[in-house]
Amino acid sequence: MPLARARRALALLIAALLVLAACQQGQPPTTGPVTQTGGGEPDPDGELVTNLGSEPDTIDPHKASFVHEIAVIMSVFEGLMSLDPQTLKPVPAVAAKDPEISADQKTWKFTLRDGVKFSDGTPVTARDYQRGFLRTCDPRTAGDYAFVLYVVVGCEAWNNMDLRTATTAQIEAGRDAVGIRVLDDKTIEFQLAEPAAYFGSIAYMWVGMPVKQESLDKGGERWTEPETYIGNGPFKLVEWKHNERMVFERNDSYWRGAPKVKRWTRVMIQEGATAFAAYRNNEIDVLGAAAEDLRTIEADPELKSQLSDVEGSCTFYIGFNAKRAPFDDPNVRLAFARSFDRDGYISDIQKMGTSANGGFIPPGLPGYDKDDAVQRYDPAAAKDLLAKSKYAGAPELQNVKFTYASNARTKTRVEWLQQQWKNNLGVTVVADPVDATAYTQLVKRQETTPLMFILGWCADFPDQQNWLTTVFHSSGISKTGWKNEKYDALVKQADQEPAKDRRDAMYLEASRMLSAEAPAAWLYYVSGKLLIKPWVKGVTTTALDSVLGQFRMWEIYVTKKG
Amino acid sequence: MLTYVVRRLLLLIPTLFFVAVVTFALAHAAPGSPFDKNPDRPLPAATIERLERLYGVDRPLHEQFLLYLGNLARFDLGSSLVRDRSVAEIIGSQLPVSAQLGIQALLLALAVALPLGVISALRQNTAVDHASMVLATVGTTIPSFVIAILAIYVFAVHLRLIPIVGWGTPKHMILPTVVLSLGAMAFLTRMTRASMLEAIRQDYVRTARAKGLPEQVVIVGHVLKNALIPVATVVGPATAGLITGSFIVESIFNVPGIGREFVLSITRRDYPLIMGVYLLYAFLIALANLAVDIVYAALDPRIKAA
Amino acid sequence: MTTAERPFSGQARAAALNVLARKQRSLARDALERLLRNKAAILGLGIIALFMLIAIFAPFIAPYDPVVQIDATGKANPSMGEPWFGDPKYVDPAHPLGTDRIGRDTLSRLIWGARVSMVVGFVPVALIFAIGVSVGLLAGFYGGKLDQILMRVTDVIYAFPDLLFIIIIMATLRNHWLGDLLGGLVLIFGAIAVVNWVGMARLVRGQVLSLKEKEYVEAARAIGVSGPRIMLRHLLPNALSPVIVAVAFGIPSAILAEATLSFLGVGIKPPTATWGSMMFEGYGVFATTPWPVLLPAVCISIVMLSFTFVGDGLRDALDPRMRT
Repeated sequence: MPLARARRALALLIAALLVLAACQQGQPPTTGPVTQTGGGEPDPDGELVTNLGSEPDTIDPHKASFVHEIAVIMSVFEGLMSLDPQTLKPVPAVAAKDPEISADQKTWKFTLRDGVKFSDGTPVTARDYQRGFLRTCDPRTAGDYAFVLYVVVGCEAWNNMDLRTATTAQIEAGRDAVGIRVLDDKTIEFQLAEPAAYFGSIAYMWVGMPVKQESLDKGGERWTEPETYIGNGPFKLVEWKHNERMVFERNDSYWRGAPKVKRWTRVMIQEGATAFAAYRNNEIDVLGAAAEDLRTIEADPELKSQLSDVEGSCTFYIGFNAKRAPFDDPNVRLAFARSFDRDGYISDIQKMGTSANGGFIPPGLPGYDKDDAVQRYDPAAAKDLLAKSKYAGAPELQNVKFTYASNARTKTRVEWLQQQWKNNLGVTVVADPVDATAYTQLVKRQETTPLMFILGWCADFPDQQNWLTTVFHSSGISKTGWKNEKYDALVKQADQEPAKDRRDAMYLEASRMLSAEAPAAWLYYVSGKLLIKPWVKGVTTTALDSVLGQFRMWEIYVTKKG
Repeated sequence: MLTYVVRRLLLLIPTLFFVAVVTFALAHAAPGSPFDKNPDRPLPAATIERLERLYGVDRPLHEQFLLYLGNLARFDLGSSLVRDRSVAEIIGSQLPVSAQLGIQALLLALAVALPLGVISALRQNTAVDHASMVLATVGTTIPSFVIAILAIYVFAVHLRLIPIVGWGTPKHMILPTVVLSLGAMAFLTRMTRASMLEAIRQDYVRTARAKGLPEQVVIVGHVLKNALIPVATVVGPATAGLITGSFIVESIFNVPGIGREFVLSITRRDYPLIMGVYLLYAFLIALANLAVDIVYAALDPRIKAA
Repeated sequence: MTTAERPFSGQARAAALNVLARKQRSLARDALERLLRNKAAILGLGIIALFMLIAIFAPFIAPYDPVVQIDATGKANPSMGEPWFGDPKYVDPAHPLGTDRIGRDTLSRLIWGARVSMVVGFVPVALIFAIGVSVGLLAGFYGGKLDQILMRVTDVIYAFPDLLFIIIIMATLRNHWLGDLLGGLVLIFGAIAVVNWVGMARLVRGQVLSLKEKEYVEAARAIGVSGPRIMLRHLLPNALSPVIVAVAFGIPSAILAEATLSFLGVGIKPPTATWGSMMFEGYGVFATTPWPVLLPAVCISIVMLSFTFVGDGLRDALDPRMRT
């Protein structure tokens, strides 16, 4: 995997960590089961109020990377594909049907359906999509998610051009070399550098949103202000009071028909406690509950009835440096992985989250393996593994350094784990807190990777490739130094396998292998809880939601304003 | 008098220059800033290019400083490191809110503190005096954020009297304004009272009374004027206090102003924004102090004559 | 006046020095008497003394380690435990004042926080005293060029908004190596001192200027007492009154500054327990339980109130004319 892509991926990882750390109360990822279906008369002038969290840094679809930014983008724009809320598999959206894929898996042709318009009534054409995709690859845009499109011919090379030395001609040439062609008003074709069965999933993302040339010309640097922020999604942005609120109204030109909710206001409340107070005050209709609020919620029957579980799309793990003693021995790694009580971790320490009693991929995403018991808590088995290893009784098992980004919460987690390993394995682990920014530097490179560390990974798109290959392939972003050729070959093969069933089976096998080799011990899956007022209906949540009911936004309705 | 004013005006220049030097130095020293040679947060190429254009990152220090001063003169405060907007734009859009909040709080503080201080001094050691002194003491000893948290909890969550979200209507503004004004109010009350008491003890008051002037005339005509003059001098520091108080009040009450923006930019290490806001505030406070000094000089006949 | 070379005889000289010496002592004793009569001030002093004892003996009095949640057996403390007067459902008798969001014992954190507050109160003020008094004495006594320069400098710094400046310093240098010394304490001391010494200097200078003309100083100079000696033995003690009051009010303002900085997220680095950072962390759970915020708030308020009483008392005691 190219280094540049790895760097970007890791930047995303860190960003995801920060987002996760910062907004447990913001927009939590949501789950497969449908929440709050029908009942009640939809109010045709219904207004929904939710909390966006903080002011988005940018809502430019080809630059954005944070959850609350993507929340805005996915409301105002729509991609060629979308995701099925139940399976999270890509389904056609603006595309009329599934893409035509060439025999060698490297050419993907999408045909747009008829009648798709921007919110100002103008028709959406293939060229608008080409413009959007190209803009993501454009080095001048400097978006954080460009790496996702590196599988397209020429995108990576263009994106990595050094703007200080490149001439205009070179930049133009770079753009022309990108494998995205418009065949006619309704047809767009992508040339991929290698077969990538997951490209359909990428086509739903914000990196591939269409944009009008007119918007960019008229608005320039500030085209994301409401007057020029024209999209083809279910809603249009009508007002943006910076730092205070964003107001969306239904897009009457939306090809699926106007959404049921007329007006959707998103306020910007940073502080979780304030947001919770606003929810109780009926000033906002939906809220991601924080662990601290649970006690109040449980004690209040009304609040309790409004609570529902949501699945996340992130897994946190304890990484081992597989190149240094004692973790160069897989028995030791697996022993560590099996000797802490994951359920106890959630109930005593984490409070909110799901026990990682499975593989790397969390529940709610394709590839989740709930039967993966390889790393399950079993102190007796763990002790056996340790005894079998080449370090049994050796000094390397004492004073094992566990490095983490210094903050009070993580400190507690590390201390709990230290106790578990001491009690169950008899090994002493030493806590090594470092400054957060220093930590992110350490874990980026193999040479500096600590002996033991904690990291999290969140899905960019719902596909096993994004987990098993992107992270743990030997050239992936994870710096554990673990390398297994059989695993590498297996995941690479799966990446390119066109038949869905065979692909899933290959990934499953790889996932089990990963758990058994244990370059990391799965710590917990992120999951949360959502509070929804009873008058908000028609919400379908998924693990990948950046915004409420992301993949069925137009179905949400409000029965009355309370 | 004129020489005094001119002197004070001239003093403004080195003060602002010093502020610029300090912000420049701190911006350079801060780890993670655009000038950090080993950035822990690698910035995208376009941002680096923009930063170099604005700050001349690779050039020698004194050149950078001159470039910096030049930018300041043109009100170019740079671009936010995390936002897609320029610092001047961010400040411009949020400043009216903070200004409104601040001015309202200052007026409220004066409107309550001055009469209260005067009455307390005149009715020294009565119930009114004791009550106002207790309030004043409470206002200065209990940290403002505690009062703010209690206020929002009681009024918004429990009593549901004020909304939490939004800004603009009186209902939204009343609680933040009151809470913000409390610190200044307490401080000004004490000052006014002390100043009044000092003024009343002056010899000329005894003279006036001895002359047979009615108490009312004595107080209003002579004492008040002289008592209020020293109070005018503390409006400067009170303004400074309001500014720092606004960080807390805006954060807790979710007011979309510069103060909240500033607090956020600190956690996110958005140095251009931090420095831009600081420069703005330092400038405002320097101006406020200058205005106060001039007004004081105009009012105080002792200085006028000098 | 005669203009003999040695106008004062040995005896007269001794008498003059006696007068000088006596004058100091009686002022101090008078002041002390007045202070002791002020009940509020006595109460304040008592409370301060109590907190200082708590601060000094913190490692021995605190029942738990203030920064850990997991005890020796590996069990996790309950998070957000209520104090004994709170919601009975969540009261844990092992933690009489409850626990915070992460499960750290509140009582222990308050005790250790007292230590930080006392240190942050006294040390910067001591620095301010040292620097400000020195500069003020020198500027006031020697006058001339030195005075001019120093006054210009202090004018410029005085115009700086102090808390804002401290915030900026903390915000930018927190992750610098300077901010790591002593866990961030050095930076906070320095920031507070750097901004506030000017007020002290101006105060002392003002005092010196007015005292310089007094007769006993003239007398001392006339009998040949050296400059520094005059400054130290004669000017300083008499200039001390407002300085002492300023110190008494400076301490709570430093404590409050630390609390404000912590609340804004730029205070002393975690996991050190300070009252300000306890409030910062407790703010998030305020809707569920107000105690994590209120308990440290009460502590800070009591300490500040005590210093205010003592300050007022000192001011009244040292200069009865200023009594209000």
